Amino acid sequence: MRTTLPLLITFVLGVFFVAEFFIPHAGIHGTVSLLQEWGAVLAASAFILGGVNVIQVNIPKIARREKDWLYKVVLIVSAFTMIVAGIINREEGGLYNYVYTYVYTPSSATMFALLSFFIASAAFRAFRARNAEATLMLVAAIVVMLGVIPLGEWLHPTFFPLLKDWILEYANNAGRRAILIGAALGAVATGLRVILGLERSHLGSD
Amino acid sequence: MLDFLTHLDRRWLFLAMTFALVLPLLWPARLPFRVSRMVQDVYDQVEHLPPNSTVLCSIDYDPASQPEIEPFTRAVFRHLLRGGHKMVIITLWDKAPPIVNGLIGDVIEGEYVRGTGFFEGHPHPEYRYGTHYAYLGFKAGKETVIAGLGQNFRQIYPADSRETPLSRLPVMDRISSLRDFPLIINSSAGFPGAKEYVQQVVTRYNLPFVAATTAVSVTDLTPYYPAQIRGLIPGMRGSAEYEQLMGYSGNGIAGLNVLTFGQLLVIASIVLGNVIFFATRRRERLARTQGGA
Repeated sequence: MRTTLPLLITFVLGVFFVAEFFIPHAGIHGTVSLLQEWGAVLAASAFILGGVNVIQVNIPKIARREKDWLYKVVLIVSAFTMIVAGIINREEGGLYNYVYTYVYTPSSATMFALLSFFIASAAFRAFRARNAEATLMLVAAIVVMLGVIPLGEWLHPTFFPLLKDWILEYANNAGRRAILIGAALGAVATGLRVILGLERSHLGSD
Repeated sequence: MLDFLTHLDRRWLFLAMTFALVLPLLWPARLPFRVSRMVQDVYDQVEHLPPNSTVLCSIDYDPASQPEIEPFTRAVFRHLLRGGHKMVIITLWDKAPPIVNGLIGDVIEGEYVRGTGFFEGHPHPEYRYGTHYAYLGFKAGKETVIAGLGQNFRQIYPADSRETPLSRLPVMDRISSLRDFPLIINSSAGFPGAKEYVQQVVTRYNLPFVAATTAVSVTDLTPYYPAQIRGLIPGMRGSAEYEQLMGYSGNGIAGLNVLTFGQLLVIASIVLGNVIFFATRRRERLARTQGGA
């Protein structure tokens, strides 16, 4: 029963959602809307589960004074502060918005901005024309970079921008579309296996 | 010299990058640039909206992507307001609500309603919350929410972010699903975003949809342009182009100046790294030849 019931639910709902796509009936669409609303509610409850999980994972490590336990204290205190601030004081100028604007936003932007330094370092140390494929990628990268910035147009009004557009629209799109179609076919096959009960890893078995 | 460059401390590169990023901010050097077809298409979609349209804006980015996408979002808000259109704003990103509140406060309530900034001297006090624009808030559920919006908008969003039922918002009068919007604009920094809109609703209902994304995600979305995504804003460059079309210089164009010098340093690093690589290889080959002789 523990296996059969979930498989039955998966089969019925899977077939229903596939059939719904092809049946333009108000009653069917109404049921789908209701199920999607349930899905949104379930997704929202995942935030609570996530919070509980953070506490379950980190509190024991803090209690045992494991490596980097102080960072975990910072994590728990920060999370708790934001939850309390969000519940009691969300309005403009409140604590939640203050912490978001003056702590979270600059920290997040700083972490992202650091990438520029590591990209420069990686470009200097790792981006080598070791063989024909690497050379091709290197030249394409330089052309696309020059095509994006106004300097490329200043050097030549059409060469770099047009070559960049050609690389993106033809070479890139051809490869991307092939991958997308392959992945879509794979998703259809996996979906069918789940609906038919051939794939059972989501039930906790192999 | 070769030994010095081979063992170059990477902190010198970091210092060079600091100068490359900071100096253009202090002394902007504006180079002319053309507007790409993808960006022009977004502009045209907004420009050719029927008068008094109600447009859906899905603002799906966080502070990390804010500098790249927000210049476009502000520009397109100004474009919609300049055309006198109504706006319904939602977000599928839990970190976005304060960003959206900031956009509404600055661009709609600050510039347009009070007549400051871009709308200096032209206040529009008649443009009111609920009647002309509404913010429906964040909704958890990612793709499920997008699919649900395609079926029944009011079932997913029964009320706005202030808990006012949609039935009491005149701006929502004729809206029951995504099909009722003449245009959907998505500022998207990742998942869930433009790709999920295309997969869940845009293709299925043939919706008029345009998107702005980070430069790193552009290659993911170009396969959907122009059939599903009718216009695309590619990162900072796209934001700058949109500002140029709108006729003002904002953070997008300032960012493009910075990007220019940053990219140049990366290109210089690649070239220099390869010069050292080939010079070292040549020296080793010569040493082997001489050693063998």
